[in-house]
Amino acid sequence: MGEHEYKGRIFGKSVLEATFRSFYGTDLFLGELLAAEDAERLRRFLFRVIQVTYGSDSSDPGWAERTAGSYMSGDAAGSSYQLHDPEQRLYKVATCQPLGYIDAAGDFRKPKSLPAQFARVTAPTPEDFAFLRERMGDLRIGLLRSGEATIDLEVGIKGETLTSHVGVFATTGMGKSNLMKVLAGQILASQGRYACLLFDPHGEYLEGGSGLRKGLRDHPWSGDRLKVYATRSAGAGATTLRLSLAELTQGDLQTAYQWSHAQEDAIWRLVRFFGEDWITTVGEEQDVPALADQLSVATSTLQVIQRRAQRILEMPCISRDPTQPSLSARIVDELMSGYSVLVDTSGLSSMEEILVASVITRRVLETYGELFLGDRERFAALPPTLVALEEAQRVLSKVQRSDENVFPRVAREGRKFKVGLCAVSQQPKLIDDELLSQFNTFFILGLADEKDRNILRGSSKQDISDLGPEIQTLMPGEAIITNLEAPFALPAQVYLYEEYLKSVRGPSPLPPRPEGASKGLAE
Amino acid sequence: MQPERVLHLELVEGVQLDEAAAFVVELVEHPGTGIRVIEGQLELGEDLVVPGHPDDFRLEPVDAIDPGTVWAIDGGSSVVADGRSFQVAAYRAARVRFRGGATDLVESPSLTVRAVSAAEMAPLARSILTELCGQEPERVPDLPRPVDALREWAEWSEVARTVSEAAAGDLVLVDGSLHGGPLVPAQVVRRVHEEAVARDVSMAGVVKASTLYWGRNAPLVTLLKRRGDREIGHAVWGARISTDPVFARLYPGEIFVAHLAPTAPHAFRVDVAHGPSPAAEVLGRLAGLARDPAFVGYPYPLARAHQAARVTGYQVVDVRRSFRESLSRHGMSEDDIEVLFQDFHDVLNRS
Repeated sequence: MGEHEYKGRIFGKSVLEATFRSFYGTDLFLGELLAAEDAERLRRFLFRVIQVTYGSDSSDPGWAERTAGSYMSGDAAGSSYQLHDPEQRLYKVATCQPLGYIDAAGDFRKPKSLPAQFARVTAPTPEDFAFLRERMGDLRIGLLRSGEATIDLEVGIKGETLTSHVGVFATTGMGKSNLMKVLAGQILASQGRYACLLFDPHGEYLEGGSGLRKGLRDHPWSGDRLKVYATRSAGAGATTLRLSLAELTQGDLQTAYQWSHAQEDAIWRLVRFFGEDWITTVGEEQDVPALADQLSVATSTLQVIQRRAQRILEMPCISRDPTQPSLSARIVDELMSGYSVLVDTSGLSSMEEILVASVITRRVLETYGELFLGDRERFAALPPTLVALEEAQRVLSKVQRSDENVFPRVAREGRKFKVGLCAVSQQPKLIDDELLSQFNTFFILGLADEKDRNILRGSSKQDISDLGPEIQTLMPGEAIITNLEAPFALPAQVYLYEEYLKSVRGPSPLPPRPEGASKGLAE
Repeated sequence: MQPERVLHLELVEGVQLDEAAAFVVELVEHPGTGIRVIEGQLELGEDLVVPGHPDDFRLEPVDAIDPGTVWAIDGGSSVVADGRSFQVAAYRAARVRFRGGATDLVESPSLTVRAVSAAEMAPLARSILTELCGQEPERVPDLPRPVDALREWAEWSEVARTVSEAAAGDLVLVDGSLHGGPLVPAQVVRRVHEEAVARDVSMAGVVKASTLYWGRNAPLVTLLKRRGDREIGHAVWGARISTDPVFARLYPGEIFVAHLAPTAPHAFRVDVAHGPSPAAEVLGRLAGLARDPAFVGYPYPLARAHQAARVTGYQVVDVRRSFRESLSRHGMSEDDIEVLFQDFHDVLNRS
């Protein structure tokens, strides 16, 4: 190991927190992974840096402040001072979270003992994390990150764990979309082992968004494994989404819209009076006061319902014609066959997008559930399927908690039916913490809001209570992954989707036609 | 029966503080005439007093220059055990070398521990001083605190060694004045200085606690610092104090008060020995060393030497523990050891 990788020596502190002194010139980063050799017990301890502070050999606690003041006095007097021998007088103290140790047999063990005091701390080698390889699953999304550097070890999750739900949390610009494209790309590349239903409200997953960014359409497996639906006039390669009005349930409406008790009561009366045609009836009603009178509800209440019904009837993807088959069944079939489905909902309002997502997701859950109950053989062949929704706090908040809301149902029951939910959100604090605890995998990117970090801290499958500063300072594309498989919260550098695409091997083209093949078998 | 208690609400009676303050102000504002050097130096038996007024000394600008190779020596000491009739002293002299803009050598030797009584001190002093002087000393100084003498002799021994090892052009810095003070005979300084001159090595001493006074014990260094601040503000300057011919007879060089960095909070007495370089150049080298923000205005190598020599409280505790163990190994009972180490002041202070 090169001398440049020598970081310092451990001097404290406990089994749960280690401190080491580092050199003045050593650059240490929050989240940096380090190793310490315990030669006496043949153990190699692994640490993560969670805090870095200044240190000096001065016994005077006010020394640093006074020295800074001297610098400033010199600056004010136009006389620059220079600290001599900084490498002999100054140092850094890093506080580390012990991650565990590798014993003499090469097995990873949780941190339950102290490394030798004054053990030498070095940068880790890829071999230090070799034990992670088998736990990293088949959906690799990036490289293990150590501070701002990467270690040559791919990290990711097992595809089988998609059904125990995935949370992707970050503030704007921290790389959510890129991560989602890499994850969806890996599902495409799984060639049907896993499936993904992706609602794309901004069209960025499919086309890549602005500039030179690429989308799932550019993925080598998109031609074979990706089906695209669009709620507006579909372009090349996309099917225009069509859902039947009759498919909309009160649950879908409750999920998409906020209803008052009076409005809910009015809908109940409408259903009782007009059955499946209630939306059409109320939407086209010319004399609302008379209808309100007939239903014994307030006119203003009915007017709200009418306006929403009219918006639904005007949605291009909603068909009133019962003879027109809904495409939701086809989407479910495709998912069951291992295709990934992208539904481009750009052009729809937030509520309309949720309505569409609710209808399709409910159909997926019900179909998978029916197979679970009625056809175990077919169910066994179903690919674990992930339903990904942006701004998931819209449907997973406490306010939205309802037996009729399909998304909390997926969070609670989906795993049993091989349906996982991928909640993408900038504001995890708005998600019902009871639902959040159902998510076994978190991809945490940069989160500025402490409340967001706190809610994740309580629901994460690994202890991330010491990682607040690191999460706060994550750069775009840097992530922390927590799930049951990883032995600790894994720092990751997510692949840039455009770079990731270069490494994906697409379907093999047909071999070239043998020379003279047209001549037949006989010469 | 409860004793009669007389309680005072004030920590100090206000009038006493006012009287003390008036004395200091009067001293600083109207100190009298004459520059006085209280050092018992050179066997004069009384203070050196020469005519002079702080406003008469010229504050000459000093240009900081590349310090080159600079050595610095300092000593540290502590009393490990004080039996009143005898002391067990621990001391050492450390040195550092500053070269190419960085400290490239720090020598901080183990502590030397010696048990000395008044009876033993005289022959020990004669032996050490004979070695330092190169001949029998003209007289052995009074030694009220043996540990101080042992430390200062160790320092000058290290200064002598350093001068003999230094290359031509090097500067050797001593913590303290360049005449040695009451504990170090003038012969010692003369001998070291002669070798320094012979080897083209410059020498300077920097005095942290100056014994230069004006008139009725007004601190001359403080007065000059105040004058410098008022007259020229943030500047590097030196004022030659040894203008009277009498200094030339008594000192191996010149005495300055120097403000070695523009914003330095302190000025220091600096003794520059006659040598291969003019005093102004030596002061310039010192100014080049005095720009460390942790020790603004003080030559950095001396600060490092001080740290290397210092005997910390923890070290004193460790040495005392080791000494007690050693006493025990030599058959002293725990009770006797306890009696040896006990200090009734501790009892009073704890009560």
